[in-house]
Amino acid sequence: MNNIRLKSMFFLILFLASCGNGHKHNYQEKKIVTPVIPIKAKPKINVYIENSASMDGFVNKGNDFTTFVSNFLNDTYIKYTEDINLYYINSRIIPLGNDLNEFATRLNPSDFKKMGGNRGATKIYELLDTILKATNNNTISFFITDGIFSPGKGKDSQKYINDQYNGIKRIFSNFFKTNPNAAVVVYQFLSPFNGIFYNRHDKPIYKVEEVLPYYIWIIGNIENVKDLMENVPIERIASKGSYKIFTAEGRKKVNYAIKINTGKFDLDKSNPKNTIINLRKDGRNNKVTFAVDVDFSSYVLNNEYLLDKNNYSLNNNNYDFSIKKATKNPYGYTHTLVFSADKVYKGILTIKLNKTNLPSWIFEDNDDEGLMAIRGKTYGIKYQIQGVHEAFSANDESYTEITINIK
Amino acid sequence: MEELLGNIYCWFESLFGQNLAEYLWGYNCETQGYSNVNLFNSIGLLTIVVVLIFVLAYYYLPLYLFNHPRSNRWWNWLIILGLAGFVNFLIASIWTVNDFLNGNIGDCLIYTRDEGGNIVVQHIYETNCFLFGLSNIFISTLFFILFSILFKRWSRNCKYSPF
Repeated sequence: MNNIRLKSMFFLILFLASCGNGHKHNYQEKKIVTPVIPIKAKPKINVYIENSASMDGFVNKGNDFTTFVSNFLNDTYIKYTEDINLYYINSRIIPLGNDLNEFATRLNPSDFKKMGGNRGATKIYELLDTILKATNNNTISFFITDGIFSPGKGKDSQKYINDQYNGIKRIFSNFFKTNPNAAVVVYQFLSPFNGIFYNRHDKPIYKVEEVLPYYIWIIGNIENVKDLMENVPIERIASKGSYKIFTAEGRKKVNYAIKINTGKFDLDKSNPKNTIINLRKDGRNNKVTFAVDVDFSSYVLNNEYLLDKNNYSLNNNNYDFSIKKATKNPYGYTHTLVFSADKVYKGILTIKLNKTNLPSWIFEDNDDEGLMAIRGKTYGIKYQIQGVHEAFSANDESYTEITINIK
Repeated sequence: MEELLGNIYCWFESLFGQNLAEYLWGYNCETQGYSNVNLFNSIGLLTIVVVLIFVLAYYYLPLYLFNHPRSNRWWNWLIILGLAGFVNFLIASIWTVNDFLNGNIGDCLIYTRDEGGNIVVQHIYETNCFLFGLSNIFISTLFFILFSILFKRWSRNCKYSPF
């Protein structure tokens, strides 16, 4: 009897021993896979420089305008693509070939005049419409302009501006519908202006010496625009703080994950990226805390925008949050959202990166009168940017949404 | 059920640390999910097997110190319990120390780094592995008592040990 018992115990031990999976680790099965990254052809760049009469004051040799434009295009040629086509634009498009050296020498009032077209009125909406029609997934368009509306003699300027605003909104809305991955970046720079300034009645004001803004619009597929901005960083050409930026782009999903080591909680084993269980107070600060790593790298939005707490909204105000750059990591996370609360509030926490806030400079640098040159201001710039912004945020008020489930 | 052993181990999580616990749950820094093997189950099952061997040997193996008339004493049972605990301490410690030294534990679990990638805090040291070994002594003891209650009644010489 005892023998039988011993034998059955022996087999029981053998059976239990076979249940364990011993020292089998996943890492032993890991294979090093070298990712194959396809080489993507660079897009073509079309550069449109407005050559209306109001631009003459910017293109006196030695001005910041000519220096910057030449440097920027040259860097684009060297660091991004050699496929650059140059155009003057006013009432029509005037091709200038692709010789950057020749183009640089043509940045002067007499060449602007010589190349013709209707230089008397600037209908920004029509210029943009022409440019958008020539922009697609394989093209990036640069539009270099003083951005000043010129309604012309005897026109109702308010109606003109309103029509332009609606026109810009409509063409960008259509463009965004056919190109959902499109992005628009508008840089504002300052340059000395020496020459004739045309006010909103088209009345020339002679010998104006003032520092006035000019704009470079970059329009194209978001990946291309992002790639261009990374390869030709504007801050290498213009000093930081000497320019302002506005961006418009569509909504997309971003990669995010709850960050381990950022509080007292456990991750849900089946949804560890977005579900927290057993959240509790951290004894050190008597608060509930956790953080979420997010990858915002696919946006052309600048870091100032992404780091500004006011650009986010939370569905549960019991949680306070801050945003900072992510710590160095191999997973591509660019920013970290840190949340805290006095106690645990269970439920779905939603954080939206909002589109609704236009940068303040658009209102500060807008001139509503357009009667004379005002340092740092542009007649009607607010309406142009608002038109683009509203076209891109008509359907989505946020760039993205992050959802955390606290169980 | 899959998480039963892990949940038992996590009674002692404050001893060996949350980050080592996450590693043992199978957290993978690269996928940011629990895609690795749940080591609580692996180590836990091995611990149970070792305990079972010692319990069965104590009650049924006809050798001195084990199933022998002179072994029918509570302190004898305690020695065997201690031996099983020691073996399980070694298993848990060596297993995790090896993983730690061989770089199998993900960087995100071991360190918190600043924006430049410099280490700000280290969360896992070898000490944590030894403390996990210590926790395994407690688990081993728990199962030893449980199996003793289950198996002692059929023992010829030690059925009244330890109680």
